[in-house]
Amino acid sequence: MVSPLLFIIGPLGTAFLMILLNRRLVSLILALAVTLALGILALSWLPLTLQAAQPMVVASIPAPLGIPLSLDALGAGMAIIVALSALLVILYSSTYLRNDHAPVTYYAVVMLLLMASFGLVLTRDLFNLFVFFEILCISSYILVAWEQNSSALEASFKYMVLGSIGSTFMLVAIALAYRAAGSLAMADIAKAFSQANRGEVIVAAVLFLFGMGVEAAIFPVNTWLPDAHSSAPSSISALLSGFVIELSLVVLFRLGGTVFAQIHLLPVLQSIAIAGILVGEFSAFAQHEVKRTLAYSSIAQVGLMLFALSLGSPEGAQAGLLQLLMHAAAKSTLFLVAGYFILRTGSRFMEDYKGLGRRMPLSGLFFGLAALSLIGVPPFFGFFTKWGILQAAVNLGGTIAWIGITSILLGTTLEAIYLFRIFQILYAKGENDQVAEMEWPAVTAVALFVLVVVFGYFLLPVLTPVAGAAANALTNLF
Amino acid sequence: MISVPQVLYITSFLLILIGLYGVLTQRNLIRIVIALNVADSGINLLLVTLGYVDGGRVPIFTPGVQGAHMVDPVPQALVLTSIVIGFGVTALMLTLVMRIFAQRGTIDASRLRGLKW
Repeated sequence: MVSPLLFIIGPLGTAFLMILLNRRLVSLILALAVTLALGILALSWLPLTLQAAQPMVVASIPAPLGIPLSLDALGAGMAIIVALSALLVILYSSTYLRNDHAPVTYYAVVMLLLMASFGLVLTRDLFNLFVFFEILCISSYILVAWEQNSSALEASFKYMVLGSIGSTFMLVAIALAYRAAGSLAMADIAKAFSQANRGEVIVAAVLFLFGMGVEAAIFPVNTWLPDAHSSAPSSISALLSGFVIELSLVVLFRLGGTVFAQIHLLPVLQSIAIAGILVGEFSAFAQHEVKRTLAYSSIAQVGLMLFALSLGSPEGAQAGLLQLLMHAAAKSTLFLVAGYFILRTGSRFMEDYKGLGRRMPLSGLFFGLAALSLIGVPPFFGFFTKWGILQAAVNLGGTIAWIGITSILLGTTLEAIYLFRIFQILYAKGENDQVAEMEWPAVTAVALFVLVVVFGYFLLPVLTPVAGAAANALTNLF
Repeated sequence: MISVPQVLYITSFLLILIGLYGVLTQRNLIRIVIALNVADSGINLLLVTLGYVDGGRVPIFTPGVQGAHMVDPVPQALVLTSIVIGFGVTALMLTLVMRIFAQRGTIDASRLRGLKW
C-alpha cells in the first residue's frame, strides 16, 4: 500500500514544480490531476480506515523521536472533502481567474493550502500541528490579498494580525504542554494532562481554544472573517468557507476531546456555538453585499456545527459531520455562483442583480437549490442534516440544548428570509440585458457541488457509517 | 534568591504582554508589525527557557563523555522553526503594508476603512 505521506509530499512537490515550469496551462492540469488523484486515493483508503480500529501509522520512528502521523476515518473523510472540493474549485478557477494576474503562483499557493489541510488531519504531533496551521494561515493570507485592491489588502492585514495573535497563544499553549509532558506527541500530552494540575490544563486549553478558534472563526474571534471572505476572489472564498474553517473546527474539537479531556469544555463550547449562530444570522440579515451575507452565514453555520459536535453524544457528532459535508457543498456553490454575478455585473451589491436569474438561468437555479438546502427545506440534503442535529439536541435535553434548539430555529427563519430576498432580486424585473451564462468549466464544477446538495439524501446509507466512525475518531487518538 | 530560569520566564511573559498591548493600542501599521515581533521574541525566549538546564552541556552525544547533564534540544528545534515562521509572516506583513501605502497613501489604521476591529 502507498504511504499516506503522499498527501503531504504530493501537493508540496507539485507547488514547487509549478513555479519551476511557470506555465499557466501546465499548472492548471497539474493541479487538477493532483487533486483528483488524492481524492481517489483517499476514497480507496476509506474502507480500510473504517475496518481497522487502528489507523495506519506512517513515517514513524517510535514516538519520542519520530513524528507520528496517522490516518483514521475522520482524516480520510476530511481528505476526500478537501481534495474533491479543491478539484472543482480549481476547475472553476480556470475560467473565473483573470489570466494576466500571476495564475501560476495562484495554483501553487492553493496547493500549499491543500498540503497544510491534509497535514492538519494527519498529524498526531502538537508542534507539527502548529507548523501546518501556520502554513494554512499564511497561504490563506496570500490568497485573500490576491486581487490586491485596497479592501483585499486591508482585509488580509487584519486577518494576519488576528491570526498572528492566535498563533502566539497557541505556541504558549504548546510550551505549557511540553513542560507538562516532556514530549510533543498528542498521546503523551493527553496522558500527562490527565494527571496534571487542573489549573495548568485549563490555561493551556483556553490559550489553545483561542489560537485555533481564530482560524475556525468561532464566535468572539471571528471579526476577520466577513472582510477576508468577502474581499477574496470568489474561488478562494469557496475554499476558505467550504473546508478551511471547518477543518480547523474539527482539529480544535479533536484536541478538546482528547488532550484536554480532563476539563469539561463542552458547556463552554455549546454557549460559544449558540452565540455564534445568533450573531452570524443577525449580521447576515443586515448585509447588502452578497458575499458579506454569505460570509456571515458561514459564521452561523460554523456555530451550528460546533453546537452539534459539542453536544457530546455520538449522534450529535455524526450529524455535525454530515452538516459539515453539506455546508462544504452548498456554501461553495453559493460563493462560486456569486463570483460570476459579481464578474458579470461588476457590482458587489445585491440590488444590482435584478433580473440576473433570467439572463443566467443555470446560475440562478444552482444558487436557489444550494440556498434551499442551506436553509434546510425538506427534499434536500440540508434538511436531513439539520434534522439530525435537532434530534440529537432533543434527545440530550437540558437547558443549554433547548436554548440551542430555539436559536437554531430562529436562525433558520432569518436565513430563509435573507436568502429568499436574494432570490427575489434575481428574478425581479431588471435591466441586466447583456449578461452571459457562466462558461462551461464553471458550470460543470458548480453542477457537481449541486448534485451533492440535492441528492445527498440518497448518499446517506453510505455516509452514515463513515460519519459514525469519524465521530468516534473525534474522541480517540490513535 | 531568584534563579536564572525564573528571570527568563518573567522576562518572556513581560515581552509577550508588551507585544500584545502594542498590537491593541498602536494605530500605525508598521508599529503593529513590530509589536507582533516583540511578542514573538517573548515566545521564543519562553521556549528556549523550557529546555534550559543550569550549567547544562551542548546536547551532542560524544563517545567517552557521559550524556547526563545536557540542555533539552527539542525546544531549541522548535524555536528555530518558530523564528523562520515569524520571519516569513513579518516579510509578508511588511509587503502588505507597502502595498496598502502605495494604494491609500496612509498606514494609519484609523484612516483605513477596512481595519476597524
